[in-house]
Amino acid sequence: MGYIDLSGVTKVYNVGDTMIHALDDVSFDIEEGEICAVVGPSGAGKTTLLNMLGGMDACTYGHISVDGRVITGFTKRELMMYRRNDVGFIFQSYNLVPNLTAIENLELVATLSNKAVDCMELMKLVGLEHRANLFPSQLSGGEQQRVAIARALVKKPKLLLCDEPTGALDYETGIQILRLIKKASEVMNMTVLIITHNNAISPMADRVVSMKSGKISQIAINQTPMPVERIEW
Amino acid sequence: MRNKLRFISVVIIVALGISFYIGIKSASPKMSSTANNYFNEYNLLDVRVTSRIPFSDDDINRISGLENVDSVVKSRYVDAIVCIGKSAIVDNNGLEMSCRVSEFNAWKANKFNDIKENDPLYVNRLKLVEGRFPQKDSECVIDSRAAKLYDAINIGTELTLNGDGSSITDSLKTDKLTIVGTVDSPMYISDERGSTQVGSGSLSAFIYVDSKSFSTDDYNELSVKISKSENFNKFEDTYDTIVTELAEKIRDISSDVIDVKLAEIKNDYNKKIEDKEREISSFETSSKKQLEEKTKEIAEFKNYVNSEDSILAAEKEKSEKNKVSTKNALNSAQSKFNTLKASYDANVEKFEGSSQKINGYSELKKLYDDLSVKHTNDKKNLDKLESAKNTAKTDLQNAKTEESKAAQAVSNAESRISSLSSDISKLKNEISSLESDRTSQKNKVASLDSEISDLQSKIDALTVKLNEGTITTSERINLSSYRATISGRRAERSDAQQKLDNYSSQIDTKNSSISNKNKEIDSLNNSMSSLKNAQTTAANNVALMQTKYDSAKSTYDSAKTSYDADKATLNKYKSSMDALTSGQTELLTLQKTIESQKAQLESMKVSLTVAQINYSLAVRNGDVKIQQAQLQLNNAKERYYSIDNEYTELKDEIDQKKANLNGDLKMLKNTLKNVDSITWNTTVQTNLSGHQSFISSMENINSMSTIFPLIFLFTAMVACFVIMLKNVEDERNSIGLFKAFGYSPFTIVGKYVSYSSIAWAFGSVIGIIMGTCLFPNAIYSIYGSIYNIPDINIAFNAKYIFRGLVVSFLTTTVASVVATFRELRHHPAVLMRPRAITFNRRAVVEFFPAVWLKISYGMKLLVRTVSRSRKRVVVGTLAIACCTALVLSALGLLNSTSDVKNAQYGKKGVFNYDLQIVLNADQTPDDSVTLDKLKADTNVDASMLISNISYDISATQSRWKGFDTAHVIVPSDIESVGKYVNFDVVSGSKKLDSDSVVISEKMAEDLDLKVGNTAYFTDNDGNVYSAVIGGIVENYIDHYVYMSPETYKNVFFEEPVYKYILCVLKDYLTDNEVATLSSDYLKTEEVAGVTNADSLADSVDISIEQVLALVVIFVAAACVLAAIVMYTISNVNISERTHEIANIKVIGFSDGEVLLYVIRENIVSTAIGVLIGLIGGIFLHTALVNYISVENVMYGNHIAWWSYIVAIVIIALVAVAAALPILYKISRVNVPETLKAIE
Repeated sequence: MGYIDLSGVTKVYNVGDTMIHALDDVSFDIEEGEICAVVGPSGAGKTTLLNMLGGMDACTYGHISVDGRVITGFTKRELMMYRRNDVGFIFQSYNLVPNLTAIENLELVATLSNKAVDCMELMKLVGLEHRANLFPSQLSGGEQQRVAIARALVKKPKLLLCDEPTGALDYETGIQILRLIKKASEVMNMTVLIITHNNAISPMADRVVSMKSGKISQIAINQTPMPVERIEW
Repeated sequence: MRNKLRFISVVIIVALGISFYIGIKSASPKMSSTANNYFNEYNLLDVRVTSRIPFSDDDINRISGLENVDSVVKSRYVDAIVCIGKSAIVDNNGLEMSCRVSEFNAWKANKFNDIKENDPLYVNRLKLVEGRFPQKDSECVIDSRAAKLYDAINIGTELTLNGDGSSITDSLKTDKLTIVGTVDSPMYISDERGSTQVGSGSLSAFIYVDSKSFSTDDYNELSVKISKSENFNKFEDTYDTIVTELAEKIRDISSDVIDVKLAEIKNDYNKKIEDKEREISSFETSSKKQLEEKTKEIAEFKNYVNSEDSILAAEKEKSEKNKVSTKNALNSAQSKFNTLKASYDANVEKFEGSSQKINGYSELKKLYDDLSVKHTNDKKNLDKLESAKNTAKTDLQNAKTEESKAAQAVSNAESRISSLSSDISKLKNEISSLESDRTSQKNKVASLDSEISDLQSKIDALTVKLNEGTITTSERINLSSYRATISGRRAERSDAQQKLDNYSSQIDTKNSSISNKNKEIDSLNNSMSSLKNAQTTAANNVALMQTKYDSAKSTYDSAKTSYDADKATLNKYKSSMDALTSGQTELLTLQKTIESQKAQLESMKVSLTVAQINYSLAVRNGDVKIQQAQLQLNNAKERYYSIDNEYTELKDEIDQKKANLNGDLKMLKNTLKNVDSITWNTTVQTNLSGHQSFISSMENINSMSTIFPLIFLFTAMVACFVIMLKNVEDERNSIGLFKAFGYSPFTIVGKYVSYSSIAWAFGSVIGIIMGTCLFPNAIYSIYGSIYNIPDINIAFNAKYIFRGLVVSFLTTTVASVVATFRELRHHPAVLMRPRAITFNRRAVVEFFPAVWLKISYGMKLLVRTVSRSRKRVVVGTLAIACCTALVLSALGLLNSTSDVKNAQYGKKGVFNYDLQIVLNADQTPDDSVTLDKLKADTNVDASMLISNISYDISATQSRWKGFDTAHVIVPSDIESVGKYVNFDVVSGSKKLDSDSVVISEKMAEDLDLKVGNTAYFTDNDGNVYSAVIGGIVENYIDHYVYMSPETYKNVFFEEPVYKYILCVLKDYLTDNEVATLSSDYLKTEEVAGVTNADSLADSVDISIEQVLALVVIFVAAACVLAAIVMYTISNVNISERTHEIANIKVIGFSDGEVLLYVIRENIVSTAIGVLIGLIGGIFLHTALVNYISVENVMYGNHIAWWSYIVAIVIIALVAVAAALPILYKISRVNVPETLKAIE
């Protein structure tokens, strides 16, 4: 059994009379410290999978365990504590709080966690210490995403969930972001799950899970992940 | 769903705003119109004219002729005290019930009542409440309020009228009236019934009888109606000016008309005065004669007394002389006796002292003798003891010598043994050396023996060989040497043997010598033990002897010591024995002297007794004579005094009579002077009793309605405005879509206008209904219990409704039109994108890094949130501030009003007395049975008679510019008045002196009276009196004027009428005991009523509760508004920030934390709002206290600390109530959906 273990995860939505299987019997493992890419076309159930892993949604059947804890059986409050302490999120649309400055966005998370990292240190890590006091609207997309990464790292999560982290960015910036994620994973020994429809990203991952229509079509283990710099799309 | 809720909020806010605005604004106009209708329908007079001199037809005609006068109706009235049977009816203030009996036309009244026939000459129409109108002369209708207030007043009750000095039957056909109905009159719309001359001074009720019941033809009242009276609003200045001018004109007429009448009256009075003066002078002459006669009589008796007095003096002198001479003789005898007695006493004393001393000595002598005998015996004994001691000493010495001899023998034997022992050891040493020599010699012998035997064996061998012939030469040589050696050796051996033997013999001798010596030692040791025994025996003997000696010695020593001590004592005693002998001789001589003196004393005593008897005889004789003289003098004096008393009595009587006559004269003169000031009294409608307070009540509501509804409406409308703008903003996407589809701007605007105008319309309708029905009725019902006015009629007040509608229309519909047009300026593409709100505005504090860097993260968040939504914060703050101010001022009012009761009646309040007793008849402090009874009662601390009469007090001669009806209190004892009433001086002095009065605070404020001003007192007959104000004192309920009896006489030209007793009871009495005490006094013949001060306090509550009810309406409305506004703005806030909420929920915020994060701005606006509201509330409270001036009550102006806390708690609850639905909404935010939606 891996560090993260999904077995038989199924999510069914009732839309009117019809039932839609967003996820259908999904099972796979991720080892600790691994970077796992989940690839697939839109509607393959990637985001639903991420919501399950992030404790934002409950699955209909199956169970998920993270670091030995079965999160599918968690109460609402336990889920909240799980999100608060164990999971970091990075979204395609950054999701920064617009009326707080970059550093204040980090501090917002720091106030919740008791193992918070120094916020300014993280800003330095993502190379934005000189722009820490600007509002999100005054930052470029790449900078905002870097702030979002820093924010996700404040609480030193066990698991970093990235939903199309480069989706809204150009190639150069995208590479930069991916490099940052990789670096963070190495520095903090963090398990990373990247969801993307961009197949080009998969070579940098240790494990690539391909999905289609809510089902896993292929799981590939990459013995020698490619350095981020060499990825092209 | 979101829009539906918002729609409902808008409807509620609009409804609240409009209803409150309309309701409060139109309350006062509605009260006014209701009252106007009532006055018109019941044909209330416009000007009332009264006079002490009856009106003539000519007077009426002159008034009718005045401009503007429509009609003048004459009528009669008489004031009376109302009794049932013979006892007066008393209200809960202990005051007698006094009524005004007026006439009316019962026939007209019935017609009006039945068919509403409008006869303009039927004025001041009565409204029948119960029963019917009178049909007989002996029937009447009574004030409906009186029927409610007095249990004794019911339909069917027969009342007896008492004129209080004048006869009722002068005016009425009968003084017994049966009540047949109860009525209301537009003349009296409040509790006030006006003042009167009878009873306590204020009227308690009115009674109407049919005109036929009056017997007199003296009409003393006119009701004047102006033309088109019903067209005027009675509470507006136009009407006031017209009637005031008319009243002045009528008074002008009066001065013309009355002069003629006055001349007659004056003549009359002048004649009366002359008569009085004549009476006084004749009385003076007659009384003078009487007095002179009495004076003569007194002089005669004075002479007689004087002669008796001189006789007494002579008698006294004689007796005194006699007394002195006998006394001298007695004194000399006495002193002689005394000296002798003293010397005798000294001698006796001396004798006794000496004999006592001698007695002491003889005891000593006995002791001395005993001791001497013992001493001689002791001496013999001592000698014996000494010889025994010496024998013991010799024995001891012998024993010691023997012991030393024995010791000597032992030591000799021991030294012999030791010398023998040393010899033995010497011998033994010699033996041992000899033995070693012997041993060596023995060895030598043995070695020689072995050498010989060896040589022998060799010789033998060689001999054999020789014998055999086998011997060699060498062997032969050897044999020979051997043979030589062996012989030498044999010689050596014998020598050695010899020596050996020698040694052995020596040893033997020595051994025998040792054994000899040992034998000797043994014998010595044997004799030694016997020697030692002898020594021990000797030593024991010595010890024995020693003990014997020691005991003998100690016996001797102790005997010796006691002997020596006795000897010393004896020596001491010896000197005392000498003194004894001399003392005995002295004693004998003293005894002789004493005996001779004793004889002398006896004879002296006899002569002394003789002197004493002489003296006492002289004294007794003198006293008897003096007593006789004194008796005669006393008789004379007694007669003299009685005559003198007669004189004084006569004089007092004459003085009293003179004073009375002079008082009568003075009063006549004053009345004459006063006659000049007699005019017709005019009262315009608005000055009728009760109308003034009704007007001020309306003004109170009016002034309150100037600020509150506006603030309220403003807050509501600003909230509406914000919601409307937000609404359109949320719809910008659809607006863009419509525009893209090609709809014309007006169609699009129409769509949103319809939404807002429907909300507005709903809200307005609800608001108008509530505003016209609910609020005015609520307010009216509060005042309705005070005023006797028909129920309010529901009439739309178009002006305020219109204003309310316009304002709300502007803030809802127009606001949304403007907002839609604003959005429509943009291109559809822009509209369909979510509005790019950029939050990059720096907060002000950020420019002060010193502050910004130091404040906590929570504070920073707060600053960010507030700077993000300033508009909402302002609206929220406004709503909360408005609400807080209202709540605080309401609570403050509660504090201020409850203060009043305590301040007046509570402990340390203005009134200290516990009971007020009303008497049946006037009394003076000297002849009041009840007062005496009270003074004797142990439960009563203090009691005092007072006079209490009501007057109208004004600052000018006419009551025109306003007046207050006050109790004029005259304490019979001005020194102790402080026990019953606390005078806390506001200004001036509280002293009740002879030329000034003390008045209460609120009245001074109302009438703008200051210390040093003159106050005018008007009684019901229109007589005006004046007094200078010397002080103003604190007072909270009712108006009071305090003055001394002297001042009262100076001001009103008559003696005060004492009809009340104030009592202070002992503190320890329980309520029940007080009640028992009250009823005990009530049973007394003299007492008409007893009032507990507590019940007076209770009667104050009613009006205060009404004020509070009004404020409660305000507060409830404000709280609802604040809660809805707070809820709505947070709701708007949430819908704007759903994405952000989802975002922070993902981060791991709990619902509670999200709520705190989101409603931070509400917390800020609540906090700021509460702060502003508290400050505003303080001002509002002051304004309220000034506005709401219930008649006769002065409110304090302070807010208790707990009111602040309660206000804050209420607002906090409102804020929490508004936040709870938000929490629910937060929990319902679907995180994944919301986050997905943005992509």
